[in-house]
Amino acid sequence: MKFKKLITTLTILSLVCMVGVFSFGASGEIVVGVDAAPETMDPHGSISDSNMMWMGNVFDSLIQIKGPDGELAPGLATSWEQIDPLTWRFELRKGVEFHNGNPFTWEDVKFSYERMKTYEYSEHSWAKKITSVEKVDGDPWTIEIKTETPTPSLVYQMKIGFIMDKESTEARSRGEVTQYPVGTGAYEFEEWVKGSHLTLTANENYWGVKPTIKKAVVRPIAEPSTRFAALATDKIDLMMGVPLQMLESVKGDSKLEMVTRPSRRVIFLGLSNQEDMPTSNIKVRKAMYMAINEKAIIKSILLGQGAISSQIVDPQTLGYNHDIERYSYNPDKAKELLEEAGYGDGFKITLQCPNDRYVKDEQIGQAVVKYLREVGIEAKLDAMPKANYWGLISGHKTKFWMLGWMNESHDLGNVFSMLVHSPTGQYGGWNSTYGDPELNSLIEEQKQIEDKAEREKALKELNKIAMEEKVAYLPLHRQKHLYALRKSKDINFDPRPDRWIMLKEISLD
Amino acid sequence: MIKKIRESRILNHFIRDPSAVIGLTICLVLMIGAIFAPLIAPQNPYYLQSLSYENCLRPPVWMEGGTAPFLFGTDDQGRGVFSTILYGLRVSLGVGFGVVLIAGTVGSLIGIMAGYYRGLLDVLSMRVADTLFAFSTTLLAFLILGITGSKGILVVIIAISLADWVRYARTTRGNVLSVVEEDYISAARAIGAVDLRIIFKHIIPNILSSIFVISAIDLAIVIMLEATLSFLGIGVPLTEPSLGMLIAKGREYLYAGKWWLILFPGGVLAALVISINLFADWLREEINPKIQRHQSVE
Amino acid sequence: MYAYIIRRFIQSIGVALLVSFLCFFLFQYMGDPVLTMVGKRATQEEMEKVRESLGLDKPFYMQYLVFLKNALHGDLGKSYTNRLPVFDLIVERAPATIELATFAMIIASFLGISLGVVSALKPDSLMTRFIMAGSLIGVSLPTFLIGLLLILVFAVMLGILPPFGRGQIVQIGAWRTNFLTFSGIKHIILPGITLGFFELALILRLTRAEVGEVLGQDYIRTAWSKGLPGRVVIFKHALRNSLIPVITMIGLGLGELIAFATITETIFQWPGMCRLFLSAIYGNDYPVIVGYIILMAFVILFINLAVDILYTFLNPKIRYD
Repeated sequence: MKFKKLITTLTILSLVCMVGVFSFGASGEIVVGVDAAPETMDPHGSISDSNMMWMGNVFDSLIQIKGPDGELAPGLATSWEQIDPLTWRFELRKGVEFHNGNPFTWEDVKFSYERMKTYEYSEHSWAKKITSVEKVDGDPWTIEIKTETPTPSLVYQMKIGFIMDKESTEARSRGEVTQYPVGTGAYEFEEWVKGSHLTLTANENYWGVKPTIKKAVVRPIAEPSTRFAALATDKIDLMMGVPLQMLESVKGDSKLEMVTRPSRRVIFLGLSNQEDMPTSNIKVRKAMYMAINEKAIIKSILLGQGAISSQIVDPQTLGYNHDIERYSYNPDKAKELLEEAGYGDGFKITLQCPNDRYVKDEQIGQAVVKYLREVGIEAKLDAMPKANYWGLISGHKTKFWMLGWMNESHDLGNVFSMLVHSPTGQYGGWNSTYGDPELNSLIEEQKQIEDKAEREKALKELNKIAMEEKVAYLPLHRQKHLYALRKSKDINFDPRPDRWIMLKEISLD
Repeated sequence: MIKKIRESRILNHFIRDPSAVIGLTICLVLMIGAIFAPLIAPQNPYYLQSLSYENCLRPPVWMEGGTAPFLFGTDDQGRGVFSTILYGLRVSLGVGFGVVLIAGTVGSLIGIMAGYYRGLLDVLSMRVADTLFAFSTTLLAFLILGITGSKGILVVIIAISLADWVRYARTTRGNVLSVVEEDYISAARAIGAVDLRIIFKHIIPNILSSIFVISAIDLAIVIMLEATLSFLGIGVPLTEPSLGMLIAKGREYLYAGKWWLILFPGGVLAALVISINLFADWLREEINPKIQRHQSVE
Repeated sequence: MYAYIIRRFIQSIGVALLVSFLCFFLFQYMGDPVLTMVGKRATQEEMEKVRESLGLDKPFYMQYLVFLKNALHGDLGKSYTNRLPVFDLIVERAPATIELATFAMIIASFLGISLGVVSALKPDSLMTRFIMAGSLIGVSLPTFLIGLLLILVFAVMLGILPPFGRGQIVQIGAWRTNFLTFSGIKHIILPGITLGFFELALILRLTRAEVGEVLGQDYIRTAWSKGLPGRVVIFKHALRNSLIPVITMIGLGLGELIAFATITETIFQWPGMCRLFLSAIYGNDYPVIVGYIILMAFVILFINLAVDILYTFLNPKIRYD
């Protein structure tokens, strides 16, 4: 009899243990619902964020950007310094292993940077300005990276310079490499079912702080309302990209919690100043600026989920100027200015904008058009899918356009080279039809300044002239990134400015 | 057979068939609504200045929070759903009739030529038709629009027509084949009447009623197809939303409890297609019961 | 008869060649083969270099022959977005689509045929009126609307069935199946019904018409008058003869099934190959679009050919002209 009891007790105990083990396993697990699917597991294959952020979990770069503040932090390099304008020196981390057990060496760095420059494999056009990666004085733990031209922003761009394992990348076929990544990162690749999910598991040998999330399942659900349904029915724990229409539903659900963070991306309007355009008159530009009630747009269209902006870069960018102020909303003054400029009867203009790119892009366009009409400008809206829209900008065809920009380089000089300088040669690739000789020369001059403090001063000055005096663009706002969490999971999540989900920076209680 | 329709026999049959009467009535009401949308709709939902953000996402007028004149509530931009449906009906019906007109004319002509002249033309056109039919109209329209991309209403009409003419060509050809066998046609041919004259005088009048039946069935199919394409985002442009696109937009609010954004446009689309089908079914029974709705098998 | 089969076979090959030529033509003019090789962000010089190495200076027909040779070897090019072979991308996602379509067709055929027979046997009953009204709704509601309504009722309001994804799946070799877990079966119900609904209505209507016609024929009347049991008459004589066109329609309706699967997969986030096609359209990924069209064309032509041949055996009355 006693024997039987013993057996029963043992069975129950072991069952309890199994349940315990099972639930322990589940508690270290998190399911993330994302809006765009990763399309490749090749860390150099695509530079869209929906890919890069997961590659950032599997791979390391020499320098990483740490959340939530977006500061530079050591990665596979423990320290770095700039030797001269063209040369950077890095001390490499010792004792790091790839997920397949191969040791990390300087040759992997050299190999990876070479690979990033090869167009057959890589979309990393920024890496093309790197001319060489070599060890210094025969020391395999010290390397120097040289660039073609002075590139102060290189250290920021290196966040996506993911280091691959030379041996296994060369030994395996292209298809293997593209589908089964081997990195040194905090998470190891487990499974990628295209169109369904990506599973990552914690790397127990990680060189940094041991990740607390043991397993993460990434579920791309493009359709926002379905993504929300997945959250509401406990299918996912963390949701990226909460659509504004779901705001009420999230707030109303006691099981859910909202987390927001202003994005680095600024939304603004471009305006041609070609001579035949009324908008070449600075008074007209100012009038249009004043005619738009941006506060109302944020309140009623973005439902408060936006930060008003006075310039086209965010505060984390070198060159952001706190002294710049918006021209405040003043329709009467706007009408006066139009009168003075000789356009009291208005003029015709068409705003072109994408309808599937930014948060509420089409609605914002409609609001802008509505406000412009209120001061007598005959504005019209032409909204289209981004696939058609980008060609208008890169082809320099649109006269009045909407753009959102986030600069990975954290440098206003780079942004202005792309967006403000007239489109010629290496400049103005994303500037449709604006150009000002004075700004052009200022932009070209700043490139030569190497001293950081001096540079910052020049950039701030440039920024002020462009925004206040020339009204090169009409800044609108920075949209906010919205996330929703399931409270029962006790997720400590502080969003990063770049919208990446770095699992090692998230912890579970 | 045209005469037949004029005869009161058909009218009598029609009045005695309640489902046909209901179908045609709903159909006509919706069409009149679409044609006179600018007069009936309380606002022009695409005239920006008439919109205000205070009226966003209001529920239907009989619910708490609903206000006049927004009978069926409003969408996220303050457009009345009732108005957007009326304007959406215009696009849906416009595409529907456009395709029926183009595909019907082209398809029937090809069918007549193939059936009348036979020979290589017949073999070739029917081979092409068979192949296209194997792909199905829906899949073909997907493929065509997938390659061209969504470029406006006209492109949608042409793309669907390119896929849809087959339906007419196959049936018309079959009808022509049986009509050509008739004695009076052989007689006309024997006395040396011109082909064109025979086709217009004898053949077309005889097959017109069948074409009419297919057109009615086809109208329903095309309206559904256009709605599907627009729902998937490869149909009409956002600036001219059809019923399908209204439903796609409403889908964003499916879980947010804004049911009126999806149920009203969906209901109207369903009512439109069902009523056309009711009428078409009656027409088919009355004129030519042999015409199959699904013509994979003939 | 064999001459007929051989001719049909040659015809199919001709059509396949035509489709591949059209696709190649479109690919050359809509997509840029260079982009496939170098990716979206290559510089102008790099693109020129590749353009030369690809032999784009060769005559058009030579390029087509190369394209054809590659296609025959299963090489349909590489995706713009991830540069993986298009063929592998599509085949990898085929099982999900095949399972969904099979499930839908089983429901549709079973319900469609049985309801069709019932309504043919009792054409004036209340039941038949219900069934016919239902089938009218079935052919009148677009698939996407049915899917949304099902989600609204069963997932949002009642919360008993999941609205998206495949759920727990079991992997057997390269095949991932839904049918071995409770969660997998739960996940396939709504998309399966959505996809099957239209087919169900079509099968029902056709079965009713065919059975109705057969029932009126002499040999059935004779069978009845001989006093054979109803079961035997219906199943052995009537159904057997009327099912040939129904089965043919199911086989030839494959193109339609694929089209509706595209819609269903989109609504339910089903990770199948049809959704891949739509995302390729949204992303202007021409190699995937073209590869998908070619593959689907081959499948459809093959099935059509098979159905045709089968039909000649089942129904010897067919004329081979």
